[in-house]
Amino acid sequence: MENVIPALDIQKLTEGVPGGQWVAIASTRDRVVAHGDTMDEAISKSEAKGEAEPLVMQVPETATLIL
Amino acid sequence: MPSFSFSYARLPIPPSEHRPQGHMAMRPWLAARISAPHDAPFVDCVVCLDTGADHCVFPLSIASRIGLEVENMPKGETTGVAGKADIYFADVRIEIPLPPGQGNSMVFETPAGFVQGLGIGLLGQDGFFDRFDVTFAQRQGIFTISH
Repeated sequence: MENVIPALDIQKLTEGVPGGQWVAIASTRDRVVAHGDTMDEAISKSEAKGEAEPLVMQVPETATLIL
Repeated sequence: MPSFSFSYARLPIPPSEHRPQGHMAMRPWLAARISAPHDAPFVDCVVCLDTGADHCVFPLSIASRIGLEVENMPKGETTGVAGKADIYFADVRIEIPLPPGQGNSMVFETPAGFVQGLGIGLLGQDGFFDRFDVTFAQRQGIFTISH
């Protein structure tokens, strides 16, 4: 099989982060640098920690199924 | 035609009355870089390949971060499972980066919408699926994008 690009381990990355929070994930994709109530807050906190180009997403509510 | 396979993201869904043992949600998610065409500011965000979305849609917060002026963008209305919402349109540049040594990033420009209340981006029919052939092989845990 050709090379498969691994998925983000969302479960591991966002462990302990409440659902609904925005997370800023390090460019190495191996840890959450910061989180906040809004995307802007998460990015600002990330920038303050020296991670200027984080990957962002809102943590799904634990039991949320997407239709 | 180059093709790239990605693993599905797996999110555990806890037990419920309907499914007492819980289950694993499989989501075709990947990382994408969103910017205005020919502009420098960008946001890297998680996106879902959504065959049910008419077009590409992103969280509204991204618009201002990439230099778009929401108040000057064409406005419409969109309907999803969560109901109706205002949507603001603009052309964007989308880059799907690939790991080093796996070839060039997939880069394309397309009209897209921005909506309040989205937690990730959606790559939809107009702008994404009309450019790339996508094979979903959930039983193998992968989806493949060809272009």
